[in-house]
Amino acid sequence: MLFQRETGRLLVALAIAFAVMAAAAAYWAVNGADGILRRPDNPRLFELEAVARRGAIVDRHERPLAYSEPINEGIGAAMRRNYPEPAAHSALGYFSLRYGTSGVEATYDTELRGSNALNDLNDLFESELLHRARVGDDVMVTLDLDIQQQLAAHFADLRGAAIVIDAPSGDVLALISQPTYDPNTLDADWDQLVETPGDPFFNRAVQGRYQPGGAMQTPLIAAALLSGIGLSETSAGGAAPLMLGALTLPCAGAPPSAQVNGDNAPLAITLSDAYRFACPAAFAALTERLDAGTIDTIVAAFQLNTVPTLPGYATGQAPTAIPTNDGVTIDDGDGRDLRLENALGQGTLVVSPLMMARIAAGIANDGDAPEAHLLRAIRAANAAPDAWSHAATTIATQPIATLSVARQLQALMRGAVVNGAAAAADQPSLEIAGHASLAYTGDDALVWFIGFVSVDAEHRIAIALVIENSDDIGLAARIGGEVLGAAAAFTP
Amino acid sequence: MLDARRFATSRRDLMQAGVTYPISVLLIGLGALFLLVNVTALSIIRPRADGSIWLIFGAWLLCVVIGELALTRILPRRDPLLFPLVMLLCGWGLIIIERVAPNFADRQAIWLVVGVAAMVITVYMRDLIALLRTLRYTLLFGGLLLLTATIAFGSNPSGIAGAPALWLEIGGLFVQPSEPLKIVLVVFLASYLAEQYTIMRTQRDRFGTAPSPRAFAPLVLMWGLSMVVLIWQRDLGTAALFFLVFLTLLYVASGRTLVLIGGGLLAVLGGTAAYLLFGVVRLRVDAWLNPWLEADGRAYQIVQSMMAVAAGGIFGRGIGGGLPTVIPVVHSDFIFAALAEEWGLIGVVAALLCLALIFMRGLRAAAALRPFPALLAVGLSALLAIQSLLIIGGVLKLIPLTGVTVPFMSYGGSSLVTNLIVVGLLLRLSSGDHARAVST
Repeated sequence: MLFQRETGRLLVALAIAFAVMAAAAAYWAVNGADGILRRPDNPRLFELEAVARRGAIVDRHERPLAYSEPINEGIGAAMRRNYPEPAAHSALGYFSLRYGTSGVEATYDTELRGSNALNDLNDLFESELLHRARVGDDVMVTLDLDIQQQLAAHFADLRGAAIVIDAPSGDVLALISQPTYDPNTLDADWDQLVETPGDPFFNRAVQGRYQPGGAMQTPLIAAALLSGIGLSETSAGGAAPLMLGALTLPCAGAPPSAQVNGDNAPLAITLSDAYRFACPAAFAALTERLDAGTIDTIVAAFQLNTVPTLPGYATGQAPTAIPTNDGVTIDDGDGRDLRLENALGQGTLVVSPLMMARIAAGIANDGDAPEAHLLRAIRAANAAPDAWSHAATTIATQPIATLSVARQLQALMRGAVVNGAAAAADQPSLEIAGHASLAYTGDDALVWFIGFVSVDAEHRIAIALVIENSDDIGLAARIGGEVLGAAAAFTP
Repeated sequence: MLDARRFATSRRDLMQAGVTYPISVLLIGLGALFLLVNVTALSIIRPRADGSIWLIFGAWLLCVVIGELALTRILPRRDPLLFPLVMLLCGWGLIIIERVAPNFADRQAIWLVVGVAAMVITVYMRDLIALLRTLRYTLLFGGLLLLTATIAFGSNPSGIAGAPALWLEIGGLFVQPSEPLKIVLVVFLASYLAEQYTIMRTQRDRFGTAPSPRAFAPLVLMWGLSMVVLIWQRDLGTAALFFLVFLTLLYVASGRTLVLIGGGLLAVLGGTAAYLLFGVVRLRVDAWLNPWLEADGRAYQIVQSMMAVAAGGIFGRGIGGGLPTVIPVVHSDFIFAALAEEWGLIGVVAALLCLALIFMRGLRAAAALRPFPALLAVGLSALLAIQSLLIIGGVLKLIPLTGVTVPFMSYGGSSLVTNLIVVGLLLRLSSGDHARAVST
């Protein structure tokens, strides 16, 4: 036979070459999973995210707020994240393959994404052999869509924020921040949104840092009660506009005593009336009477010098320029005494609606402020419809006032609604209590409303809201009252 | 007697003639089943309104049935494995093309019909091999003329300026002349070496003399031709393929290990010169040595290819389950990466086995033949095997990338038709029934 030796060698050589090819393929197939497949430029990682079925976010009555659905089957399969309730948009954050996550979507990302853990043979079969897309857990938040919709309807054309908290549970029932964005069309709108004035991505309810202005009157009057200063004590000129630097701070409401006293009379007013009508001059006088230590004590007790945490949102940095332990007295920048400015809410101390809502809830809850939270329950991927595993039910509260001080504050706030600056908050057949006040930032004004309503003997719902670029105190009180009115029908 | 065997059609006659009829049918059946499963899966995952995937499968089925019937009629004593294995790879390739680049699949199916027809005609022309030998100088001249024409008037179907111009446009049809040129070169070399090999071998034992120009002249000539292809066409793959196939043939004919050493030195020399002189070669080698530096640039293709192989793992992602479409021109040079991702290591080994078996069956056909047909069988088998190894090795980052196709699988009409003609020739050689006009 011709060429036998050579063809034999050729056969062996090329057979070895083919075997080497198979070995190389085996090397990549086995070794790649821990190596090159983890490279960030592996398009499969993106693909994996695109086809994974992210868990749904539902409200406390299991109404869907966010869910993923397939927009394509088979090759080119992908999921679309839907946010069906425009009212809830600002409360949820967003999920985007391109821009990542924020808000609730970010905080509970681990659960919503689902895990790759292989717990049993079935998992192994599903993921390694069938390559089924990952499925995430569903998250139930404490929000109540009905209250959320009420709030959103009122805030539709406003800029500002509001938060509604249940006491004593601390469940956040509604939360809004305006302006906001539509997470359904985030990818398309992104470039425009980052240019939008007012920063729609900024969650004002949690991260906002507003001048408290007259909202400081609630802690101040608590300080007066602590110091034994009577609510019926009169302050001469307490109803007159207060000149503070370049600012002129009038009463938020129109106190009847001021009308009685006529034009040039010293506008005397009792402390309780000054609170009801939110008159800054009377509180300036009160601040002079209180010693610095008392104010610092009350600021610390009301947690105005700490950043509240609300799991579900990034809280940002500490409020500006408040020396955490020094209270409001001294601005540590240049040593100037800012006690008066800070006591009147026009200094360096700034607050978020969440902080004010916690104070309102604390007063409503007889002095124990509940810790706000958003997570209600989690349902494992592919679990039975009712297999919700509820978050810890222990109620965490922080004492901010004694029972007696809290009761007196409740009465004062009720008074402000019955006959005071917050009168617009009144709702028939409901015991709504509240306080409406003004704050100034530069040339603009803010209106604040904090308040609460009793649902039953142990159950109250509190609200704090702020409206930017407005001095319409009646509007703030009316929104607060109507939302609390809707919330009073709420059953946990 | 010959005529009687040629037209023996009764089952008994066939069995007596040593026809292994059932095994080829069994293999074809298994292949068809494998393809049917995949076609069904793909049509579920991605339904195409026009149902063209079934038309493509139908075309393949038609080719394999008619091809098998025709081969059985013309060539009952052929190698029973070659045709089923080749058709399995063709069908598999078609399905991958349909999956990663559906726009190209219909055309490839037409090329398959043309190719199988060409194969049957090749087999049918029983004097073709003798004829090829007689016409070897004419064919070589014609082939070189075609190559020159490509260098002068070549274009690229993609129309991209600067893309390698390896195609000739004839009446709206793009043909790659280097493909048929492969056959012509192997025929020429086989016949040249069939005449020279005795002299080469008798010189073997002469002690201490310089290598004979008889052995080295063709070697240098082929090296020169490869370099021309490389320099003028920047076609690294074809150049390397020509040279390696020729080296193999020269080694088999002469039996001299020195040929391999000299050829290796020439390849290194040519390769180094090409690396220093040509950007396209430097790019390929640099991307091979360290793809990670330019994973999103010049080495994008090879990095994505390795990721596809890694993503496939052992069992593969399943048809339509992977993401091989991110690899540029995956339906052509990188079709093996797509196979690796969706059919996994199991698919890779199966396809490699098919290719290796085709090579072995081709070599087997060379046994018990006279010098020219034997060398022709060796050359044609080596052509298919080396081409497979060149591109698969490139896809797996074992060697620098050379732009050649995976035989039978990659998209490309010229390549498919040429390779099916090669199979036709191997089938004819495997039957041993071509001898009448072939002497010496």
